Amino acid sequence: VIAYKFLRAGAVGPFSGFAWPVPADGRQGAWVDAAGRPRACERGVHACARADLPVWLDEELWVVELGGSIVNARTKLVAERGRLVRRVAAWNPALAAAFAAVCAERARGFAPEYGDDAERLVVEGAPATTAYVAAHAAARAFGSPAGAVAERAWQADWLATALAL
Amino acid sequence: VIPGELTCRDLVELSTDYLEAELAPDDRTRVEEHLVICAECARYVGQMVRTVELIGGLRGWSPA
Repeated sequence: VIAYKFLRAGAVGPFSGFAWPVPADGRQGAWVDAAGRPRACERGVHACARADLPVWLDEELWVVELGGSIVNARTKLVAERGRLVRRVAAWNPALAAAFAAVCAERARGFAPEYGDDAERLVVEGAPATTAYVAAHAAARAFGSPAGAVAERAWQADWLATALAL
Repeated sequence: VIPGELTCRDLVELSTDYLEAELAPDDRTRVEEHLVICAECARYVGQMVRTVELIGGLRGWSPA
């Protein structure tokens, strides 16, 4: 199964601090084995599907291959093993800033009172938070959490298109 | 707040259990989703982690 994984600079897991073996010499990274059945947030290789990309934004985006049994957990996929296939080079500071700017514009469009906060977050370089604000603005505009779900889906589509995923 | 999301107050209440790996998987995922979008809470949890590491480093130390 092909999925996605956001990592900190240097291919480091944002929560685990695990330094992932990266692809080299034209070969994919080494398999990382969780040694046992996957259990969300406890054991396993954590990644996400395309639809959940906006939830987990970080400095580096990688395509990962997951193997063995795979568990769906809220906004995560948790697998018995996984390896880094390739880094998505198109996810870089310029694209992150462009994504944040689009989200801020949408936030203002949905709920003008959210606009200033969203634009401040763009300046601060916080695309994940800007996207989150846009989702909340959409929920406010539509009077329902369904607005946020729809906005997250729109954001995921934007990212997938911009990153050619 | 969108159903299922944590507030910063929720996160503070859950942070000890999060660091001790005592949370149910869904709650742990919610904590991590919040940490991605909230720099203040991420800083708070980071400071807790460093404190725990420092205390761990002091184990076995005794005053001269």
